[in-house]
Amino acid sequence: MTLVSQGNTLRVEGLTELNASNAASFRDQVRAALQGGHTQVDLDLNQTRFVDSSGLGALIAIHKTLCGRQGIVRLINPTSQVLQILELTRMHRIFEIAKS
Amino acid sequence: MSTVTTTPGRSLNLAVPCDLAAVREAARQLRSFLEQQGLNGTDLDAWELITAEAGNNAVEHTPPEALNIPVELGMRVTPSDAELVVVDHTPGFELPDDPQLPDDPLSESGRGLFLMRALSDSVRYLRGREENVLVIKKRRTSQATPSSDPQQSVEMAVLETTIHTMTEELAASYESLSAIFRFTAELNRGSINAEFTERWLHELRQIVAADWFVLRLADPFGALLAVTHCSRNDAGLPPLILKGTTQTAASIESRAAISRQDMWFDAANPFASDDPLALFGSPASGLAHPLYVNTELVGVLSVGRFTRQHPFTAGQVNIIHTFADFLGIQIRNARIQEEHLRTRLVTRELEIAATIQRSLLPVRLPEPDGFRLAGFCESASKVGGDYFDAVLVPDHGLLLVIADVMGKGVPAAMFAAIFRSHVHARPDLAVNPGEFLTWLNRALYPDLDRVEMFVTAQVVFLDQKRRELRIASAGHCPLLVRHADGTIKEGDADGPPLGIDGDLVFTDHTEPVHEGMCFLMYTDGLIEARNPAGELLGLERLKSWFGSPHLKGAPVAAIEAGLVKLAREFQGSAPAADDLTFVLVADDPASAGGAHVGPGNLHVAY
Repeated sequence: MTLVSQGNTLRVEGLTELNASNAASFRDQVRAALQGGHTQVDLDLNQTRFVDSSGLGALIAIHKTLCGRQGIVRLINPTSQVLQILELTRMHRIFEIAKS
Repeated sequence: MSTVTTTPGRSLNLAVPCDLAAVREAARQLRSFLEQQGLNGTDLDAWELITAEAGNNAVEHTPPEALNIPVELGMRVTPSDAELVVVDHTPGFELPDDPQLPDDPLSESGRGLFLMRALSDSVRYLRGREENVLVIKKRRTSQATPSSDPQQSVEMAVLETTIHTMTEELAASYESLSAIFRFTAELNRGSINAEFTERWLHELRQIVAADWFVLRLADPFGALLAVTHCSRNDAGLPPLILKGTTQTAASIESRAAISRQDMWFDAANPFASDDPLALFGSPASGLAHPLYVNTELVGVLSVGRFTRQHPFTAGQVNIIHTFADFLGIQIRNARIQEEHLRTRLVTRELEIAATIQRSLLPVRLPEPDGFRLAGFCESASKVGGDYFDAVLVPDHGLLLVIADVMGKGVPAAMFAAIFRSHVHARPDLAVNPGEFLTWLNRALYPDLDRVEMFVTAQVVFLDQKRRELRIASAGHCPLLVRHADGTIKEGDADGPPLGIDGDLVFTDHTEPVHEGMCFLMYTDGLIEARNPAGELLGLERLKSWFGSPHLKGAPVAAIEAGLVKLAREFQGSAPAADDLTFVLVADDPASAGGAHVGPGNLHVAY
């Protein structure tokens, strides 16, 4: 996983899985990489083929962190299996789901 | 390291260390096993997640003393279904009949059971003394025979799902883009209108396969949401008054407008019984999307389906947002254009009205022998309604008329013009103001009645030989007479305004003119001038000022200047709401020497 700062956006790439064993560490790494000026996190889910409920919890946690600074989290290019889980759990009502 | 027991082609049993990473690895192993059994991509994705969720639960709730006992995961496959059995060593839990998503959409946990249930056909949980057994069953979506090349079979399944999703998204994107281009081209030929909006919403309904929509637009103050378009013509939805907070607002549409966020309705968030959208019945699923342009609320678009089974997908939500936001911007632009046009029209109308009003006023006021006059007329935004005139009746006296047409703009100015032509038509009636008003009322009544306007007027004849005033009034502000000693007398209030009753008979009354007397005729703009605190200048304040000792012996021009100063200082920074018109007539023996037209005795300010 790589974290790239682009202006007010923190871009997260190369995430292959977001599951119970790596969700907490993922959440902490993203939070640690957030700098003062970041008001947007773009999570590139292009390579993410598995997300479980703990992974969804981590996404919500980051969303709350960004809300606290009047920012947003965007989920970019989710794979079809991840998109299905996002829709099933109605996460698409919370996150902006975008094409890059 | 999991312990594996396999029955070739039928079942796989794993004893997994009580550890999240090990469970994840076991879920991958079970997926591989299912692949070999010929399950398709959708089933494989579902089982991988179900296994992970079930295994994670077992690990996360195991007490410390049981951490050394493995979690058992067993998968059994038949030609029609697959079944997962998980044996855990936790204290166990109560499995709800129908696990739901957490009430708080921002909860960071509590979705595992929902996912297991949503992705399978049945979930059972059998609680024992030392161990519990979770059994999850799911029918196979295709009963394909195991592929000779498992790798190829997996790739084909993934490819199939991806192509299906892409095709759906592409089709929707193409349709929405094509609609946007088409409608934009149409907009270039004219402004947005109701018919355009209607077609736009029907287009959206088709693209996202919605069953119904409701568009409400906000009033300019963002306080009221009224329905402008609804897919059900007979809906008759009442307007919504925006009040309360996101939590307390009565309807889903109000909450969307107040919170500035999408509000969803479905099985978990049904309509309240008094929610206007409840009209569409139950079950329903969909969303209310607020239309904001910058910080301005334009309206709320609600889109729904008559089902809870197939809520809108992320792609469809994006399309709804795109359509709604495009519409919001177009409506906002149209409103701005309309506002500009209206302002220009109003400005032009006021210019025309001001020109008419200016043309009605005498250039200078005639002054009979032994009297001085001073007049003042200043227009406010309500231009066009005030009129006054002074007509010399040779060897007899002076006719003074002041009037206020109730209304504004060109219509009021036009009536003032008609009024003036009537005044000048009958100089023979000047000496009897009551009779004059009776005639004016009878002549003007049909026109005034037709347009529901009326005119307050005061007619005063100054008889210079008899040295008396004859005064008649039609609902106008009372004449004020100032005697030389500073006492103020208020003229009698006579009949109602002109235009109320065509058969009215007006009478006049007489006031003797004493030496050093001065009288004031004015329109209500003077006594209804307001200060920044909103207080009226009022008749009592005017009388008090008019009777003040410093005006004793003052020339009429100085009294006029003082009265203008009084009104302006009282108003301060408050904008003038009405025209300010008055005329002063003062007995001035020093000016004897024949009637003349006083130079510079009328000040008109625009």
